[in-house]
Amino acid sequence: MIEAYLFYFFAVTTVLLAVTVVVQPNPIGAAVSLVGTFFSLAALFVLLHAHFVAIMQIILYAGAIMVLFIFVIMLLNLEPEKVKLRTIAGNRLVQGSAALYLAGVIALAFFGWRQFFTQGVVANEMEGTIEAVGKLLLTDYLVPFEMTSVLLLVAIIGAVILARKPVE
Amino acid sequence: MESLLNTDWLALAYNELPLLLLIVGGTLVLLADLWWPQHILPRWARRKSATVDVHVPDRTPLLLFGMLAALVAFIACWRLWVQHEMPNQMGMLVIDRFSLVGGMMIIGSTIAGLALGWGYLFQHKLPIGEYTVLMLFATAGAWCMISSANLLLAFVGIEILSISAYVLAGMDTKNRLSVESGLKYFLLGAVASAFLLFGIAFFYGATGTLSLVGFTNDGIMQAPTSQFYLILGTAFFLVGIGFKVALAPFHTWTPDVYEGAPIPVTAWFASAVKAAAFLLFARVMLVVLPLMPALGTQLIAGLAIATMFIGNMAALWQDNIKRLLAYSSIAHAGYAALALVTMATIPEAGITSLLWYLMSYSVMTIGAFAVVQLLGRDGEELTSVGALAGLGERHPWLAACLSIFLLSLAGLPPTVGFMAKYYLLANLVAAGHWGLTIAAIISSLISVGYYSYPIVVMYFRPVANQTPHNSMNVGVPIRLVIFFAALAVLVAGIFPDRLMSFIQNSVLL
Amino acid sequence: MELIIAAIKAIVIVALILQLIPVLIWFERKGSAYIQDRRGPNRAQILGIRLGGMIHNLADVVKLFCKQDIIPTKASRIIYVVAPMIAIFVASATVGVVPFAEPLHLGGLTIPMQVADLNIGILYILGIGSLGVYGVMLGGWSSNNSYSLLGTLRASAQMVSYEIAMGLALIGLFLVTGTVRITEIVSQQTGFHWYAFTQPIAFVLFLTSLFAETNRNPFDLAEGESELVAGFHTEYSSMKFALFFMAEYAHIAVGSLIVSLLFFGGWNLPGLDFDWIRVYPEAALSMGLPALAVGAIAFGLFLCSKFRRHKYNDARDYEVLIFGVPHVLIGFLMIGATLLLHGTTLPTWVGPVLVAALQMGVVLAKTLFFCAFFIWVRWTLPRFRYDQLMDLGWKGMIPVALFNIVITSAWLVFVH
Repeated sequence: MIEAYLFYFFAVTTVLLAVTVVVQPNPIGAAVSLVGTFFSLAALFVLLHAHFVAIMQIILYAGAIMVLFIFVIMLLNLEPEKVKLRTIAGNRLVQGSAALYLAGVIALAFFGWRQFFTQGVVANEMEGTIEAVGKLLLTDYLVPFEMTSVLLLVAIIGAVILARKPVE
Repeated sequence: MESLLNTDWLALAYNELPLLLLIVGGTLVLLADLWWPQHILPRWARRKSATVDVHVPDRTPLLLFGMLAALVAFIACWRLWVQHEMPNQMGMLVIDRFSLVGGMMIIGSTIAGLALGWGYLFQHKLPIGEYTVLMLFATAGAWCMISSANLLLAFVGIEILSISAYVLAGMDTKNRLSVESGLKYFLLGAVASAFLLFGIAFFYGATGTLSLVGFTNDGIMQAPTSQFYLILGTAFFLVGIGFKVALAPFHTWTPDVYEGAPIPVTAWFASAVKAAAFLLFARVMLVVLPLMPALGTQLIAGLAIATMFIGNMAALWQDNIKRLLAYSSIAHAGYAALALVTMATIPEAGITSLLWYLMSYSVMTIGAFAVVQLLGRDGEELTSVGALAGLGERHPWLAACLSIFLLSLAGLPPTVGFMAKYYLLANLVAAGHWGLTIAAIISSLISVGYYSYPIVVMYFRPVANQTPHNSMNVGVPIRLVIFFAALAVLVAGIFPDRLMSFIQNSVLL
Repeated sequence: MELIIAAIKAIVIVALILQLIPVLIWFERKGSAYIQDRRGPNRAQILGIRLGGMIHNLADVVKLFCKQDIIPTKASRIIYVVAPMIAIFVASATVGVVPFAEPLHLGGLTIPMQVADLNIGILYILGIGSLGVYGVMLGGWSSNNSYSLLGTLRASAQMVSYEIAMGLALIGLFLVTGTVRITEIVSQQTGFHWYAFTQPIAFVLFLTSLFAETNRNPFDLAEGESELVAGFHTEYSSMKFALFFMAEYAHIAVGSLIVSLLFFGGWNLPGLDFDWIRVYPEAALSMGLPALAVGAIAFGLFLCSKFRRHKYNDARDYEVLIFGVPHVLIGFLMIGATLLLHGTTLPTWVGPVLVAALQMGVVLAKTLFFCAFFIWVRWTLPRFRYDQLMDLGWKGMIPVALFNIVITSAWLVFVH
């Protein structure tokens, strides 16, 4: 009972904060709202008994990534009026065509399969404990897990290449 | 613990030898790059000499090591191809001849890409070690894409490949165009990845599994709810993968990125990245299309037609040879998508024609870019088509090679481009898509217009100003690449039987 | 019922941490005074009673409440107001999973001596602790002051960097413990099997990064009063400033608590057999109380002996008596209690409650020791330069932590 209330509370908070991220003109305000979004998402994970995922959400996204975001915003000292919209050539075309395409497909699917809105999908009950996650990561998901470390290595190399001074 | 021990690690390692070799090779290059001497002269000599030590040591041997690693991986692929008659699934990886042929294709392109970097990177003061490492890791990512039995692993592979590609495109930080291309590629690519991820999430919603094998034999599959999710997932997936392979409404990044990136990188983009994305596309569509044949086919066919015409029409107005080849690459993505349409009705023929088409396209586009790169001088790339004037007299062999590649791209006999297109269209007709075939032929005819433009310039336009012949970017590897590419284009175009049967042997569904 | 117990526990524990803050502040003032060979605060008084400077805390509270609360005109108001709240929230929310003693078994009821015994245990502390940087960042940024911004930039870079070293140090510990539940980690450290001895590298790294995370000297560049006025809280005044101030000390208290639990055996003390005490509380009391009584009487008498009638000629003369006489009285009360206990059997709840109280006492004693260590370090070491700080974090501590992980896992696989 109380879980349901908590769910609705955090779900609404998540969505509201996510909207704030988009409409907030102040970059810091948007970033802080994003932190709030992650926090309430973590709360939703807790309600699903996925404690590990929840705390990882907080440690990684709220605690590390967003700190760096805000750090960069502060370094650039972006003020609301300094942020101007810049467009890429052909931007409109891409946006428009992609949006039309998606809208068409969704409409097609919607009119064809109205029952969607009356049925739900059954999710698997899964344990979100550290032991369960750890075992999965090192057995079934070993290859993606290891490849993710390659991915991170590639990202680090890339950041170093692009950020360092050009070789003279 | 038990399940950890139950896995046959040795067998997994043996079957994934190409992947391991690529990653280990990349790591070794990274370490070698770290400990490479910083200066040519020893410390005491540097102190004494008044001139600043401008000569940084040439790290080109790292490229050689990278090529060696890729070559060993290629041979490992070949060994596995010989051994694996039937598909063999281990955990999330599936080893079948389809993925092995794809792997060989991509690793071959990577070897060519590394060879093209020889000399070029040093001249343009680009980081050689990182170039090699990123190429090798990206190839490992591509391997994960094409031999994955699970969408999760495939996505990780896509990201490895994409992030390496963003960095490679923007690598030349002194060149504004290169930075622009890297940034554009990154921003749009990130959005595309998000679409792809959404698509995968909806596939999961539809089937309750991320495994491509478990996709079809799942009871939930037929329920209307999951059909809805499936269509939604396919739509998102098409947007994402359409970006990665440059299908029509999502192609706009291609010319800018291909123009801005260093030429070896561009050649590698057009061959390896495109092939990897297409093979993943095919693998996913192989299981998705049978579930929704009509709609899926129509969607892909629509994208293919738009891509072919937009690519070919836009290329007609290009005066920059890199942009011209970029639009040509878009158009070819359209042709290759036709193979996927074929796949909906006759899967084996579709896959065969896709592999055949991608293979031939990789070879000819690498060749064309290699010639363009060879013509650059003094650290400047040759970009305008007009600069080709008089090439037929100055460098008859190079001009001949470029002509061969362009004719092959246009799909004229006796080149491999013709054979690939012929086989593709023949299968398309067999699948009963007459309209699509005619559209493809028309757009092909349009394309002859712009492919012949550089040829005409090379042989028939008088040289306007007699610029002295500066030394070209000499390098044995790049000449070898051009030679082998031209040889392959001609031989496979005239005697396609052996290669054809090799590919057909690889497609056992 | 469970909710009520949880709420009570939450309130008690947060109150405990908040109560530690004035003690720590007094500790810091007096400790710094002793280290610098001066007397420290000793003027504030109530009716002439000064309690060795303790009254200064009370005076500070009154002062902070009465000060004008200024919000700079160009500050972003909401964030400016929220930032100190985040700081104090984070500091007090981390105690949520910290156990103070073993679970208390009363009849059929089991009461864990912590608010929540989560499966993720220490990760919760890391997670919530990592949010602490927001208080500093947002506070500094929103005040729209260059010094504040500089302090903020330093603080955020520093905290993010040292978080990595902290997490990696903990991984070395987790490899040995095999669990991240704090109760289990503590219960593994019986006798002298404290992880400070079996995982010394992890211990040193964790303690060091804890200093950095709490922005304490030698890592207090965020405040750096000789360079940045007061760092990120330059513009803050009144209770908003007080919240930052309290958050710092709450951080110290919580950090010391965690160190003593993870690395210093928690409630384990060699020679104390809790199972035995739980079963035979009478025997334990009849042995322990006289010893305590002797100590208390001796201390009380020592204080009383310092009494000189005309030393200051005001109420201060009697301070030693105010402390000393109660100690003597309590000592005699304890002896009386021991005599009364002789031959009687106590109700069954006494054992567990006694054990819980003892365990809490041990934990708190260790915590206070580490708090004293924090203060000691602050007044002993000079401040790092910024590049030295970053070098130490990235090129020193992180590689060492990784090395520790490799060594530990190799030891576990090949030797253990």
